[in-house]
Amino acid sequence: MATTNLRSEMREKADRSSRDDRRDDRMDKDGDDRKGRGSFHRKKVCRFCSDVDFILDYKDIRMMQSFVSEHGKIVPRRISGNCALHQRQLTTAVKRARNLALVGYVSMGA
Amino acid sequence: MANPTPGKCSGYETTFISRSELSDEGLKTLQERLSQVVASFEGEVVLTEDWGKRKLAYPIKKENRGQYTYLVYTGKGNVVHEIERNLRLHEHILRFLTVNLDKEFDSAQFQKQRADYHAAAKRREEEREARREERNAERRGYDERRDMDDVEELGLGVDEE
Repeated sequence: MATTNLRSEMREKADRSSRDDRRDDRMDKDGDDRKGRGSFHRKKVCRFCSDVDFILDYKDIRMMQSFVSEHGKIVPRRISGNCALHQRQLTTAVKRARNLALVGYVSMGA
Repeated sequence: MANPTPGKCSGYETTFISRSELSDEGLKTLQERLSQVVASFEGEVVLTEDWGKRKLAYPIKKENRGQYTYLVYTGKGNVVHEIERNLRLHEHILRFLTVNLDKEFDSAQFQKQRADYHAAAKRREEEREARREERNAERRGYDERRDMDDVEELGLGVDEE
């Protein structure tokens, strides 16, 4: 009984959305309307630009590890939020650190 | 190549990993040898840092641990070439990396920078430590509360019986 009710409700909703988008927006209280979708991310800032104390250095393991995934991959800019300049510097730094066995090379596990 | 300003050499930094079996005396003699090389190229050793024994991120020459030494020096001409040749000949050296610093190297400024850097690192470490303490304290608080809850439940169970 409950399921049929739900189904009919859904059908109604779908009908409404196809008929009138604006009305659907108003009706939607669950927050999954299309307008708001994808806008959950915060604007990222480059940590090297925003913090003067945060120095990019291939000798600083702790700093390096925050920009390297657990498999040893360099975290891409779209995730870390670094600016292009610092990301470029970071890649060379990570590669130097890899050479010195401070950071691992990309491993496939095992 | 002519130096832009006389009296100033270019600076280099070399980090090398030696086997952890290498004794302290062996390391010392190696460092002395390197400083002699630097001196013969009209340079000076600005800074020597010992990072201690570290676990390597991946084994090098079947070694899992290594002794790191960080060396900053100045010099003219082929200093780096000579230094690296010496390191390569040494049987206890696992790996080394040399990075060019400024063309006109100011050792005093560099030392100051490095000191600042260490101070900043220390400060950050302390902050991290404080945060960890705080978190631990919080967790302990939770634990205590949970323990008390357990006791109450136990008490209830006894009453029911």
